Amino acid sequence: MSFSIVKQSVLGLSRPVFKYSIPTIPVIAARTFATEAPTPVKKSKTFQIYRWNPEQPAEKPKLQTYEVDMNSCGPMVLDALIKIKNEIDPTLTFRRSCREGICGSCAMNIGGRNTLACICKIEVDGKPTKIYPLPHTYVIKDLIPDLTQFYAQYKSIEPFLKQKTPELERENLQSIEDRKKLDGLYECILCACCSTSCPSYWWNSDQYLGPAVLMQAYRWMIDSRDQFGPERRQALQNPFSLYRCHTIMNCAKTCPKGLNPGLAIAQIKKEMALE
Amino acid sequence: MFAPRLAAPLRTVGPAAIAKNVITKTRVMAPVGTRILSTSQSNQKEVTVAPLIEQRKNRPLSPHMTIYQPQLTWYMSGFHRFTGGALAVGFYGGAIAYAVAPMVGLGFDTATITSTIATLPVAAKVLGKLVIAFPFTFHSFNGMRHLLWDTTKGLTLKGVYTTGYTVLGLSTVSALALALI
Repeated sequence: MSFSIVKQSVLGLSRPVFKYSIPTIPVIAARTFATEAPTPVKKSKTFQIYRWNPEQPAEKPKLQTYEVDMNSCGPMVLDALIKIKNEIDPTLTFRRSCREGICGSCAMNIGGRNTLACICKIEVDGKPTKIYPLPHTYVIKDLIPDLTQFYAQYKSIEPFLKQKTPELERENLQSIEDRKKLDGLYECILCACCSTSCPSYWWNSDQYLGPAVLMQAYRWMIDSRDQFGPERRQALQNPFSLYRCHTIMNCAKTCPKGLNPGLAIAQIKKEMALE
Repeated sequence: MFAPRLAAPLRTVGPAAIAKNVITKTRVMAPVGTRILSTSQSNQKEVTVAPLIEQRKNRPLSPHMTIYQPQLTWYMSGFHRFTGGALAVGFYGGAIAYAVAPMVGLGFDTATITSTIATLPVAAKVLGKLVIAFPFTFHSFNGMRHLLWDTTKGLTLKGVYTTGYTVLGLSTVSALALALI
């Protein structure tokens, strides 16, 4: 088969035209002999996954080992989990939804750090990968943590626009500069990776709000349209809600969206100190 | 608790009830083109943590410190706290022992301490001084790092690591210098 692009003049305009010739039969016949695909080198990956079944509450949580054939598995840890559930062990339980890092459902501890299974590449290096639920959470089953407390804390900071002036007839306008202040804050998907990576939150999650929730508190304080900044800060004026943050910075290190809750908390502290 | 809510739809079955509903709906319908601004009042009960605490008794707590990846961030923070505690114990403990010793006859006074240390080999002296100096220098430099952070400077991931390694380097060098005095 041969191709060529020639210039052809049509109605006084020159334009390129794609020319080709139909291949002859012997060539087609020759192409039909398929070359045998090389047998893929056997690649397998070991996963050690935390298991606990609420129907056997007396049994201690344990790590269960699974071998996954990497030649027929997608690149991400979530692909491996789904493959295990589909092909090896349907009892394995985990949350997942969007598979593209925007819903935050598949947050878990993979290889010692908190991240989203769907955007965490499988490291094919012979070493087993350990998967645990988010650290220091109460386990509902296998990799599913109870996040009720986390959501209740989020609710407590009133994560919505609050104004003292009467409701506007039209949209709340905001300058480009003011809108820019929300960048790096509004992208949070509340996956709880940061909060459950924070040692302070491990020990004080009953009273300390944790990085994710505090960053959202700051997101509303810094919003030019919100008029309850001082009240929002006043609500944090106690030894636990905010000041249990000791700038450990595990939060920024682990955030799968590359955000920096530690900086947002430092900014709240600074504003409160200067108020 | 659910009884009244379940009963409500049962009572309103029948053509009369439907007609009544339609009339009511038409009456309150907003004029076309008006944005309805009211936010619906949630009927949901406030999220209470009481049942949560009840459930926790049956649920295991997922592993945390033992499985979390060693990172400069939380290791340095932990060490800062540890050195702070150790220095406080050393300082207050030493001072109190110094004050109390003559009264109870502990033999903890300057003359005894200097003569005891003088008998030690040089290596033990240097090592001993290093063991005291390093927590001191680390805690001091890392304290400055925290003060810098309080101004919201250097709080990026890159900043955290640069200042972290700087603190480790400075505290090691200065601790060695102090140990060799």
